[in-house]
Parts: sequence; C-alpha cells; structure tokens
Amino acid sequence: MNNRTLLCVLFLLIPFVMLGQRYEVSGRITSASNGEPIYFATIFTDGTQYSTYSNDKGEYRIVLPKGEHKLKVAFLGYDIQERVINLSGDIKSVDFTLREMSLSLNEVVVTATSSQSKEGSSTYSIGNEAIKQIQAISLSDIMSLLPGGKLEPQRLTSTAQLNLRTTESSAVNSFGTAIVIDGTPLSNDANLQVENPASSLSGGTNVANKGLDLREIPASNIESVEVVTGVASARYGNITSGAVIVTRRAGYSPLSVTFNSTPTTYQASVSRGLKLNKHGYLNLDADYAYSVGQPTELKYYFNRINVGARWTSTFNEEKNWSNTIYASYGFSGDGRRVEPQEVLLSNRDIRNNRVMLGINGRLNLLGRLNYTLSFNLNSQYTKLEQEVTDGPRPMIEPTETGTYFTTYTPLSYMQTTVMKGIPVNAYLRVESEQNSVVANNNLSFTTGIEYTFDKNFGEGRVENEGGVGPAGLPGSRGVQFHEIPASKNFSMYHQTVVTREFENIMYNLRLGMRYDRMIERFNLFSPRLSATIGLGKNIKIRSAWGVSYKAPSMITLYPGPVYFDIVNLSYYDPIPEERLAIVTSYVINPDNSSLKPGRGETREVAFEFDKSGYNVRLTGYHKLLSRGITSATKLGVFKNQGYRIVSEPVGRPPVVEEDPDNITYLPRTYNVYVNNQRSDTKGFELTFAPPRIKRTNTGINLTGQYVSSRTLDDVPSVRVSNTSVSKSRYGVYNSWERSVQIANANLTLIQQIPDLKIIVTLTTELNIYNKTVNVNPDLLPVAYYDTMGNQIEIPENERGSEEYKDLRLSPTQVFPSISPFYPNFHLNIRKETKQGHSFTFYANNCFWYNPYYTDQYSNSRYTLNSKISFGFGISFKI
Amino acid sequence: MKKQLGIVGIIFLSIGSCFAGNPDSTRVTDVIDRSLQREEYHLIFDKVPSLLSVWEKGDYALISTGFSSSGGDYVHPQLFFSKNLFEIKSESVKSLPVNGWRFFGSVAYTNGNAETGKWNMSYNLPTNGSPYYYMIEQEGTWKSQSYDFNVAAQKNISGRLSAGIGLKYLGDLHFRTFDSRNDNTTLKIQVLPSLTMNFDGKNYISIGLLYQRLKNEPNISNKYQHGTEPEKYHLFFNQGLGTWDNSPSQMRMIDSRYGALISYRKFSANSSFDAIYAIDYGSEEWLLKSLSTLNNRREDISRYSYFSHDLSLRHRSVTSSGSFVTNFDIKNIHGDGAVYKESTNAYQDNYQFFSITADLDVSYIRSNSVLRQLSAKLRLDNSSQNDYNYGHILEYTNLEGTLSADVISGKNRAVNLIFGGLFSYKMNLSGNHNPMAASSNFFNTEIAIPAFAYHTSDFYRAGARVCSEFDIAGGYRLDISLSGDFLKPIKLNNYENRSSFTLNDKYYLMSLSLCFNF
Amino acid sequence: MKKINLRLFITALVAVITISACEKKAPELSVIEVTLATSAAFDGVAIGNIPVEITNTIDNTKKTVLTNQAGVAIFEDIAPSTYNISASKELTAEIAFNYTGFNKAITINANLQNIAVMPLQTIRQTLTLDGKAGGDLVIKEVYSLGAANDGYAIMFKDQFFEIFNNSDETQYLDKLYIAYLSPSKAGQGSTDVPLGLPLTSFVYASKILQFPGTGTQYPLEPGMGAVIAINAINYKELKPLALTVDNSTAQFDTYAITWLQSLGRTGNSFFDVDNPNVPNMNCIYLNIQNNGFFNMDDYASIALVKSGPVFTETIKDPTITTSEVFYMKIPVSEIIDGVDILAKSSSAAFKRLPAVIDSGFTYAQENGSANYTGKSLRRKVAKTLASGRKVLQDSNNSSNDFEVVAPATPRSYNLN
Repeated sequence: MNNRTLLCVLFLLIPFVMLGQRYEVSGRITSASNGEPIYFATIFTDGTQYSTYSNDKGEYRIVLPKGEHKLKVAFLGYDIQERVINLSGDIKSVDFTLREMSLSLNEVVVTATSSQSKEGSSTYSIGNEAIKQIQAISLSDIMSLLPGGKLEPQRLTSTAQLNLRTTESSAVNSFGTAIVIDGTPLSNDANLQVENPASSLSGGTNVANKGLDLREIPASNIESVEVVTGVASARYGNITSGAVIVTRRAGYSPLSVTFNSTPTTYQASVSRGLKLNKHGYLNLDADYAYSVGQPTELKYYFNRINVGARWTSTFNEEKNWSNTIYASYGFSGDGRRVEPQEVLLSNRDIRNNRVMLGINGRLNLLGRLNYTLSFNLNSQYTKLEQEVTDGPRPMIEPTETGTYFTTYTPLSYMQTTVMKGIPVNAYLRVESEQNSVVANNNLSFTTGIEYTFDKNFGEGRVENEGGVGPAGLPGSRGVQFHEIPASKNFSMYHQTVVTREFENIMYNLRLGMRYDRMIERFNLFSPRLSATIGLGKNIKIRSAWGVSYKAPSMITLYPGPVYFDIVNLSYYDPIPEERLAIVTSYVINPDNSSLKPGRGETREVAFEFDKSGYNVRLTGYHKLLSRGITSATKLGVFKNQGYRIVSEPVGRPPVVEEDPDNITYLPRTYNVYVNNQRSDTKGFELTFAPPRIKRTNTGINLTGQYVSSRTLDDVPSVRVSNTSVSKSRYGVYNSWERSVQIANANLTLIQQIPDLKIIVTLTTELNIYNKTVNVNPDLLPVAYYDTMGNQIEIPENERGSEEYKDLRLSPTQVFPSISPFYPNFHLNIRKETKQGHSFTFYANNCFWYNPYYTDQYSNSRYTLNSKISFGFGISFKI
Repeated sequence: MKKQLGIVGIIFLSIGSCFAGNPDSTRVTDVIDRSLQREEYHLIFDKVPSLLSVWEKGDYALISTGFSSSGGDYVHPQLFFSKNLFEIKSESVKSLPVNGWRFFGSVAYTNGNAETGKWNMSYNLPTNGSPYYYMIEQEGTWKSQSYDFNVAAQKNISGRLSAGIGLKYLGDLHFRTFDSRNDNTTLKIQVLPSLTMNFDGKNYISIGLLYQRLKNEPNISNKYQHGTEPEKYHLFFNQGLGTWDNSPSQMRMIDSRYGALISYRKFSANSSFDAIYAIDYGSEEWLLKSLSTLNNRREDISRYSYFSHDLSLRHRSVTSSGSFVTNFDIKNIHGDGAVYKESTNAYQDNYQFFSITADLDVSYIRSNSVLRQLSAKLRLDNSSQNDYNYGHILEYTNLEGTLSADVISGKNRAVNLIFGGLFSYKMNLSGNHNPMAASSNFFNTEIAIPAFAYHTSDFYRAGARVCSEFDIAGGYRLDISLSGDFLKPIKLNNYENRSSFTLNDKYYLMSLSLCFNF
Repeated sequence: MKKINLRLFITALVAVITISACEKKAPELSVIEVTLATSAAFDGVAIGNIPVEITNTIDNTKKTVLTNQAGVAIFEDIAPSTYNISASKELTAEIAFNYTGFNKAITINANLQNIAVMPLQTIRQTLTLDGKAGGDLVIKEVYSLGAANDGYAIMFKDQFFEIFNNSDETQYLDKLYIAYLSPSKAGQGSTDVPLGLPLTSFVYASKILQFPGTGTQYPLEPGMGAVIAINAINYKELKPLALTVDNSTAQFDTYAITWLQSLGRTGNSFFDVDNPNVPNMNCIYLNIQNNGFFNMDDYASIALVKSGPVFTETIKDPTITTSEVFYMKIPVSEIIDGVDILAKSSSAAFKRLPAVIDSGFTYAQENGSANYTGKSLRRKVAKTLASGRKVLQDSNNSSNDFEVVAPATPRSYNLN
C-alpha cells in the first residue's frame, strides 16, 4: 500500500510548473433593491476553474490570465449577471448590482440550456426558475427537461430511474449514471434488498443493480442541476452513461413554505437561509411527500421525509478558503393499510432511512485545492407478508440438499420474507488545480485522487417461511449480508486544459487520464480527450472521445444460493395425522466472482452557434457499451425419486419405500450473471433557442433527439416448447440483436407578461418515430436437452425439420412494433403576487388527447399518451 | 351631516377606484360591498368579457381559503349524505391603462370527500338534463379534487369598440375509494369571445360566441371479490326512467356546446341596467372505449342533444340612503335522448327532458345605518322527464321564497362585525309521476319514487352568518365569515311511506372562509 | 324604478308558463299475442288456462298471463325490448299414458328466445308444446360458480357435479365420458363473440374425463346420485363464513398432475390436490398445455356421453386470433344428457348444446356476474314415489327443469 501513496503524492506535484502572467480584477457586489452589500456571492468565469466569493463587505478579488473572459456573478435568489472583460492589466472597481429574481424581470429562463462546463463535453444546466416552472417534486421530474425528456404525471409509487442517451430504459444504463449531490456521488452498489435473486432481480420497488431511486431525492432544496451526457471530465469515474451534478441551496433566503398537490401526490416543504453575521450562511430545509399509485388506491402508498442543513462559510480570506458542511436525513417508505373490504391479508412494508454527512471546500493551497469527504449510512428494511390460499402445500424450510419427510400447511397460511440491509458508503476526494500561461496558452492542470468504500453490514434475509416455492420456480433463502466482502475503489486522475485565443480563432484542448483500481481486482485506465475550435465569436466545433468503467454491483457478485424443491410424494389424507409429503431440495451455489466491470466508450462531435440571441447546439455521438452485466439461463435436471405406499397404519403417516420404476428427471432453469450485454448507440441531439420576440415577450425553445441502438445479449436462451400437446422439452436458441430507433422533440412556447408577473409555457411533445425490430431472428433451435439434461446439438439442415417442429419459436414473438407519430401537450402556468407569493398550475396532456392505433401484427389496439393529470402549487414567502 | 359625508364617501370611493392604479379592495368598507364587487364580475362581466371596458369596481386581488361541510338525511336519495370541501383560490382584476388592457384571472383548487346515496356511480347527477350516468346499488365514499383556471382579457380596439375573450379550463376529478371504484375525470374547456360597441357612453350593445367542450371518462373497477352480495355490485348504465343497459362496457362522454349571446347595457344618472340573452345548442355523446376489432360494434352508444335559453336582467341604482341591486335570471333547457339498439342496428329515441328555473332577487343596501342589507329572493323551479319507451312521466314545479337581513355593529375602520340571518320556505306547486310500463322496473321502485317524494316535499330553511374584517401585517385586509344553515322538511306531498327520509330528518350546511385582500 | 322591474318580472313569468305547456310524446308501447299449439304426439291436450310467461331480457321483469280456451294469451302495454317466452303443462301419468305409452307423469313445454319487440308493434308468436320421456341417467346438479367468501380464498377449487339415476333399475357408470363444453365465453362480457360453429351433429369439448372401472365396478342404485369433485377436500374447514361445500365424501375425484407429467407437461400443484381415499376419474383430453387441471368454466355446460366412441378429431376456435385453442368434437348422437348453463337471461346466442339435448338454457342470476356467489344449479324434483325415491324433472329444457340453490347440496335427493 505504501508505494501507492508515494506514487500519488508525486503525481500531485508534477504539474507544479512556473506561473505565467496574470492580473487581478476586483470590485464590489451590491443588491439592486436596497444597495446592501452581498456576502458570499460567487464570482466565476465560464468553463474554467477560476472562482472566488465576496466577503461580508461585498468586495471580491480574482486573479485571471491575460485575454478575454466572461465574468459571471451568481447568488441564491438573484438574477445571474455577466460581463465580458479584456484583461491586459489589473482592473479595479468592476462592480455588479444584482436584481432579485422575480417574474417581473424580462427573459426569465425556464428551460434547460446547453452550457460550456468543465464537468464534461456536452452538458445541460437547469436553473431554479425552470425547476419551479414544472412544479418538480423529485429529481426525476427535473430530468424531463433534457432533450428527449418526457413530462409524465408525477407518481411516487414506482421507482424513477434516469436513462441518458438511450432508446429504452435499461438497468445497465441507469446503473451507469452517477448522481452527484454537493460533490458526493451517491452509491447504490451495496443494495441487496432483492426478494428472490435466483429467479429475477426486478420486482417490487427495490433498485438493486439499478440506478439510484430518484423519487427519494426532493427537488425543493435544489438550486441548480448540471447533467453531463457526453464524455465526462476525468474527475467522474465508476460511470458508463453520464452524470447528474446537483447543487443544493446555499446563501440567504427568507422563510418559504410551498405546497403542491396532484391527483395522486401531496408535497410540502419549508426552507430558510439564515445569515450568521460573520460566519457565512446556514440553510435549513424540510420536505414531506405522500403519494398513492392511483387516486382510487387506499392500500399502497409511499411517503418520504427529508430534513437537511448546510453551513457555508469562508474560513480564511487571503487563502480564499470556502467550506460547506452538510448533514441530511431522508426516510422513504412504501407502506400499506388494511382496507375494510379486504379479507386476505397481504402486507408490504419497505422502509429506507438514509443519513448523509459531508464536508467539501476549496482553498488556495498547491494552486487551488478542492476536497470532499462524505459518509452515507442507509438502513433498509423490507417485509413482504402474504396470506397464501393455495394450500395445502408441503411445509419445508431446508438450507442443504436432501430428502425430507414433512406434512402439509393448512389451506391458507402466512408466507413472510424479511430483509434487513445496512449499506454504508464512505467517499474521499482531494484535487488540486494549477493555472499558468505558457507561450500565450492558458494551461490549467487538475489532478486528484478518489477513494470509495461500500459495505453492507445488514443481517440479510432473516425470515422466509411458509411452504415450498411456487411450482417450478427457484427460491432463495437465508443469506447473511454482512458476510459479503466490502467493495473498495481507489482512483487517480489528471486533466490538462490548454486554451488559446487569437484574433477570431480560439482552441481548447482537454486531455484527461483516469486510473481506477476497481474492487481490488482490476487496474483500468480511462482516457478522456476533447478538443474545441472556435471560429469567430459565434461558431464552435467540439469533438470528444472517452472511455469509462462501472464496477459490477454487490448483488450480481454475491446473489446467494439457489434452491429447487421437488415434490416426490403427496399423500393428503383427510385426517391430519395420516398426511405425508416427501420433498427433495437441491441447492446450487452459482459462482459470479469472474464478473468484470462494464466498459463504456463515447465518441462525440458537436457544432455550436451563438450569435445575437440565437443559440444552436447539434451533437452527434456514438456510445458503445460492452461487457454489460446480463443474466443467462442455466438448465439443471433434478432426479425425482417416486415412492410407493407400503402400509397405511391408523393415526400415523403411511409407511413408504422408494419405487424403483418410478424415477423421472425434471428440468428446471435458474439465472447466473455474465458480462455478455453489448449495446451500440448512435444518435444526435439538437437544442435550438432563438431570441425572445421583444414586442410580446414570447420565447420558443426546441430540443430534439434521434437515437438508434442495437442491443445484443450474447447468451444462448433456453425455452420450453409449448405448442404441441405431446411430450415437451427444452430447446436452446441463438440470441439475436434488437434494434430500436426513436426520434422525438419538445417544442416549448414561453409567454411571459412581466406586468402581470405571469409566465405560461406550452410544451408540445412530438413523438416522431418509434420502431423496434428484431434483427434477423433465428426461430429454429440450435440444440435441445434430453430427459437426462445433456445438451444435444441439432445439425444445421435438420433444424427446420418436422422432428423439431415443437421447438420452433412462434413468429409472434419477433414481430416488429412500430408506433405512429403522435403529439402530446402540457401546460404550465406560474404567477407571482406583489408580496413574492406564487401559484403554479399545470395540466399534463392538457387537451386530453389519447389517439389509438391498431398494431397490424398483433391486431390489438394501443392507446397513446397517458390520461390527463393536473397539478396545483402555492408558495408563500414570509 | 353624517348622511352627506356618507354620500361623499361613496362618490369618492367609486371615482377613486376607477383611476387610481392601486387596488381599492383594501379600502372597501366591509364584506357586503366587497362581495357585491366580486359578484358583479361573475353576474355580468363573466358572461360578456368585452364589457370589462366599463368595469368601474376597480382592480382587486385576493387569496381566499375556505372549508365547508354539509350532511343529513333530508337529501335527494342519490346525492350527498355528507360532504366536506376545502378550497383555496386566488382571483384578481388588473388594469394596464397604458396599453388599454384589462385582465381577470383566477386559479382555484378544491379537495374534499363525500358519502353518496345508492345508485350513484358518477358523483354529481347530470346538470344538462341528460339521463346518462353509471349507477350501482352499493353506496359510495368519494374523494374529489378540482383544478380550475379561469382568465378573461379585454382590449379597447378603438374609442367605441372593445373586444374581449374569456377562457375557462376546469379539471374535476372524483374517485370512489371503496369497491366498486371509479376514477372519474372531467375536463371542461370554454372559450367565449365577445365584442362591445359603445354608442354614446350611455348605451352599449355586445355580441359574443361560446364554444364549450366537456370530456368525461369514468374508469370503473372492482378490487375485491364480492361473492356474498353480488347484486349490490352489479353495474348499470342509466339511459332514461327505466331504460338502462345491464352489462355496459367502459365508455367516455364528449359534450360539445355551441352558443351565441347578445347583451344591452344602459347607464343613466345613478343607475345601470343590463340585459343578457344567450342561446346554446349542445350534444352529449357516449362512446365505447375498448372496441375489439373482432365485432365491429358501433362506437357511439347513446346521444342526448339539448337547447338552453338563458335570459339575465340586472338593475343597479344608487339613492341617497343606499343602493338597490336587482337580478332576474330565467333559464330553460329542453333535450331529447336516443339509444343505439344493436338488435335493430338503429337509434331509438326514448327520452325527453324540459326544465325552467326563474330567479328574482332584490337587495336594498343602506350605507350608514345599523341595518346594512335587506334582500328578498324568489325561485321558481320546474322540471319534467318523459321516458316514452315505458310511458314513464315524472314532473314537478316548486317555488322557494327567501328573506335575509344583515346588521352591522361598530363604524370604525379598524374592526367591524356583521350579523346576518335568512329564512326561506319552499313549497311544491305541482307534481305528476306515472311509471306506466315501468311500474315493476327497479329504477321506478328504488330511485324514481324516493326522488319524487324528495322533490315534491315542502321544507323551510333557517340560517345565520357572522363576518368580521380587519387589517393585518403585510398590507392585507383579512375578512373572515362563518355561516351555517339547516333545512327541515315540513310536508311530504307524495309517497309518504316510500321516501328515503322522514319528517324529523334534516340537512345542515356550515362554511368558514378567510379572504386576504391586497 | 321599482315599478319597471316588477312589470318586467310578471311578463317574463307569463311567458314562462306558456312555453312550458309544450306537448309531451305519447308512450310508444307494444302488444305480444301468444297462441299455444301441441306437437303431433300430444295432439288433443287441452291448451286453455295454461300460464304463459314472458321475460324482458333487459330489465328482467316477468309477466304471466293465462291462455283463454282457444289457447291465446295477450300481453298489453309492453315496453319494446327483447323477450324470452315460455309455457309448460303437467300431464299426470294416466293422461300421459295415452300419448307416450308409458305410465309416467311428464311435463310438456315450449319456449322461444330473443324475440325482438319494436315500439308500437303487435307481435304474434305460436308456441308448440312438446315433451319426451327422460333418460335413465341425468345430470342432477352442477356447482361451477365457485365459493363466495369475499377473499378469493377458495375461488373455484370446490367445484363438483352430480349424476343421478332417474330410472328404476341399477345403472353402471363405468367407462362413461363427461365432457366440459366450450367456448368458455357465455355472454357475460359485452364484447363476447359466439363460437359460430354448427351444433347440429357435433358439440365441442375443451376437457374430457372418463369414469374408471371395467364394466360393473361402479353401480348407481335408482334414486341415488354420485358426486364428482375437482378436489375431494373439506373446504368448510377453511373459513366458517364461506358459502362452500365439504367434498371430502365425494364418489370420484380428479387429479391431473401425474397424467400431465407422464406426457412431459407440468400440472398445477396450486389448485390440484389428490385425496388418496377417493377413486380418480381417468384423464382423457385437456386443451391447455401446461399448468392445466380439470376445473369447469364458471358458466359451465357439461354433457354425459356414452362409453362407446374414441375421440380423435379436434377443431380450432375461429374467434381467438392471438393464440391457437383447440376443442375435441363429440357426436351429438352419443350424448346421454346435457345441461346448458349461460351467463344471463339475454345470452341465448351463446348456447353450446343443440335444442334436441337442451331446448332452453339456465342461469344463476338474470343480470349475470354470478361467479364466486356460492350458487349452484340443481334439477327440480318431478315427484316423490311412495318408497320415498325422488323422480327428477327431465323435459330436456333446462330453463324449466333447473332451479338456483345456495349453498350447493351434494347428494341432497339420495335415499339413505
């Protein structure tokens, strides 16, 4: 271990090159409404690391290299101001007066804007006004503002996964997207709350081996969100799709109480930003949300409580040391009530408690030093209780292979599963930035190290009794989470940015390299390169190429044993004492330790045009995801030894003996995890925002995307023949590629009337094209399993013959599905009163337009667009 | 001397409000004037948006929140035995004199629950006379939410011509949260453009058009199995007075209505007179939702088309001691229903509806005396339904007279208290119910007879209210009003022993409202 | 000023009264005239004073009128709708003797279904009374609607049907077939589509069972019934409030798991349990590939078939396009007795048996939605002999021969 620490210290010092020519800009920041100085406003330049804060007298000092810079000033609750300055010497008194953000200002931005950011090659930033406009309740609502995003009626009873640049939502895509809150990437690696991993990882509201559940992250305390969809900067690792960077509120804000209601969901939040005279700001917020699946639903509901505090302050002025300490507690639960008309008890009680503690900050040491340290503790409790009425069933609970003599459950009995997990995550990042100028090139070096530790200390699956599993499906029992080893990732990264500005040409090179030591087994290098050419003031062309890796989740590495229960004899005598059931249990321990991390490679070319208010960005990308983790079906054949009744004594179970000529072999399938998913996605994204029509203050915003993906689970599939009435057997089939193309766009009309302090947005969602095709599917079996479970190849020419007619797959499974063009319309209205209170009203599918089309293959009718849904929100500033 | 001061006060107030930019609602004396100010918009200007050019009640803005609760056994057998409703609303009129615009805007949200009687699977019974609704014997517990957005804009085009448009967007959701469940969503969009010609500053003629589209989609399902009492959960779709479908499939309803209006306004020295006449044609169609391609059944199953005439007369006059407010409304709806019969593959007319409601109310408001307001109301209500598929006729005519008075205590601006009381008596003038071929049909025995007994019963209603109003921090003028009244049946004119209530039942209503004016 | 609007008000009120007196449409009611006649075999039977009943298949109201001496019954002021019309007359043994040649009481009856009556129309219909001597073995009771206990606890696992010996000698059940007739759609859903296959010479079975035994192993004494249960288990043991039956003392049980596993298919251990003390029916045909067992449809028509034929020919259901469902063809000539149980009074188009086997049909509730109500369809008793033995009514017309009982009553007519 020690040579590695030596290596990383050296790695930090190398770029410490001599400092070039730099000048100082200083000035004062005051509020337009009362002239008071604004303390702790952020002063920064777009797309670079230069940034500083104003002191309690509102003064600031920032050191910038020579040349032209766009200086920006931002503070919570105020409109961002920017000014272009050309540096060739120190400049004093570059003062800014910030106006309070309100709908009476012209050109309030309520859509996602494409931004220049150091976080990655193509990024979109979403401000606070856009979040308020769509009455967001959780982070997943905010994501609907991205290109291709869909405004859905808010429902918090199903998990919300984020999928970036993809044609269909997949666990691999959402698991490969990092959610970074105040500098800390939240981890979902150690989530093991799966009821029966042997049969499938999905089901219920657990998100093991998937992305983080975005419905648990409240939107009420979010100041801004930046989403990286292209090649992320070297700073972000353990991702294959992209990153969502969330900045929560910091700074002064009056006590604000908001209440939102939709037909299925109620949400209320309180937030306050206190100014602690000399010691920065303390932000407190609390959020509660309650939601039911359907308005008519009484039984299943979801509720969520979040409480957070953030203390931001400057520790030392010359060192320009700013620091934030945050603590937040979140509870989310899928609860259940007993309905009076309900007779059979079925209970689902899922409760997650999450405590997040963290500290991040930056100071002038070794150039500019950024540090982030965070500790996350989750306690997850899942109880699934079901009054099962399919009795009488044999009652067994063994954990080893063997034959057991047992009796029967009553006609109806309680089947319960309880899982207790305590995933803990610790995260440390230290990063230093240096800037210098060499031969008129502005150089900036960022070097950093990162360490994440994930372990689940929970008890595991503690209770699981009540009869044998359902006929034919594998079961899982008795797994101890705390026995599973922790997963540790250590990484080092470096990024050099070279920018040069000539008369009307500029170039910007970003060379990044990341080294990851993943789960103590894999040494991975992921380069991140991007180059930008600026022609004149208005045109920029950028290309980027990057590789990234994602560690396999703990649930796929250690799913636990698989059980099969075969009923040898079922003797159900009316007299309970004379009943006898003989069951043989088989236990299989699949070994998934050979799983490798998934690999993502992205190539991207973007064209940007920005002139007198017109802003166009067209990005073409090619994303190749290989070694994605998917499940493969294994077939096991289990001997079913029949038994014969020898005698039936009174009052005691019958005496039995093995019946030599009654032996059958029953085939059963179960899942193991392999790195065999490959998905190749090409597409382009367009954002087009013309300037607002001055006379009527009307704005238009168009975002659109075309995505085409070809996904292949390169694993042979095992399926049972089902057409014939005679003998049935298992066939083995080649897998084939599934190609999906979608094209959709959102045209948003923004009408603002500053005099009335009202802004109305009408979003037209154009679902242009959606086609899923199975690429030359092979419906013929390549092999079959005989009764003893041996795999027998079928020669090429015989595969279509009459003998294997029962194994031929039916063509209905591979029909293409094409949905026609259909639009959808959403209305959002926000009005502010003179005292600062505001109302929001929204209607999802506001014209209630549900077209339908008949699929010519399956001859069934599909209705498009969800039903109309409404929302009302009110917020008071006291 | 006090009287002259009073008059000067009023003139000053009315003049001040027209031009002063800031809203006058904070300076209006009390709840009576302020509710007159708000009613004035909904009684006249809501019907003719272009008339906003002569709106002289000044800009106002408010946030109001209220809670109302009602319950009791003396109620229509299919409607609400108990109902609670919470409402929050913001409403404002804003003038932009610089560019000649005037806006009215209101956003409202309500959330409530209710217990309905038997045979009601669609929360409210139809208000346009249509016989179509789902029904099920099992009583229901409902939750309701409504999201209403209502805006009107008016622009002076030339010195004499003013154009205006009113837009209503009302979303109503009613869910039945116990088996059988119903997720009943309704969207009503109404567009009302209008033009007003000002002849000589005294006489105004306005014309307008109305287009309204109402879409309703019930979604009925059972979550649990009810084997021990199957008939209580059996679903019917009512199509008349005994005509119904006993295994209806899921349907949705579109009611499109087209109308035109003409109105005349006359200003004179200290009075104004309005006459507004509107005529609408509407057709309500029920369409099958799930059409399996196998049997090409006809999509629209039932159709009800109707005409409605609506005449409103308004008269306001100001005298030395107070002012007179007179409103007269008369509304007539007549419609015909037809049902598609698969056996004959044609529409069969079976239902006829005719109703008239006439309201006259005269209020005398005294400006500076203890007796603040005296008003008398008279309401005539006639309805007749005829299902000639069975020859089943049900008609009645009722007359209700109401007297109410409000007294004010305390004159100073800081705090004033108003006590009000009302007494009304409803008398059944005539009633005729003949089931003919439907006498043994369960619609007649279970619904028509108890409903007829309720409609033709006489009752008296007594109520009281107390309102207060004072300034609070933040520059608001808060008015609070608490009102309660109850109905008591006195005489059962028909089917005494087969009604769903007895003479000692009653029905109470209670409501509390807080309104922040600024 | 006050006088103006007073006068205004009065003129408006007068206008109101005149408008409201507009005319109302006259009722458009109809008349049905029914004339009775007798078939050639019963020519000469008196047709006066016989009750004729019409059922409105939409609002399910019934009206009964006695025929006059000329055998005519007139129904006035009838709401236009579709109607089922039926009439029946009891002939004592002596009168029946000189028509049928047997000294056995018999009921002659007739009915017509789905008669459409238009507004202001007079419909004339003739009803021909006929009757046939009943067979020896009859289906006495079919309990297929499932237990009623508001909790899906038992669902339809407690189904059974009972075969009864209506003759006066011992009958043998060995090798007889029981066929569950298809399609399962019985007119409950508004989008149900009739099968559309001809019922003249064949009926179509989704499942076929066969009584065990070699020939004389399973006798059935006169006046005794044998119960065939899907699961021979006492379901009353489960929840007291349930409206269900104790099948543990059934004469026959069904168990499909071992038979299906022998064909390499999987049985359904959820619903199919074997009681070792009760002999199992032989499994002949089951048109579900996997997880199938011998449960009846909730609206189940079943037929008792002679032991002779071997069934081979299957036919595909033309109304199902998304998947392939096959039925086994059974010759009508081989059917001993059958009963058609459908969803509701207006489901005549969904009959699965030809008129020669069952000229009517029966239902548990006029409006349908009768599943999981614990209701059972039982054949009525024609008469009780001196010895106490019961003779059941068998006029091959289930709309007259069956009644609804709840809970089900296995072996209720047995002479013990």
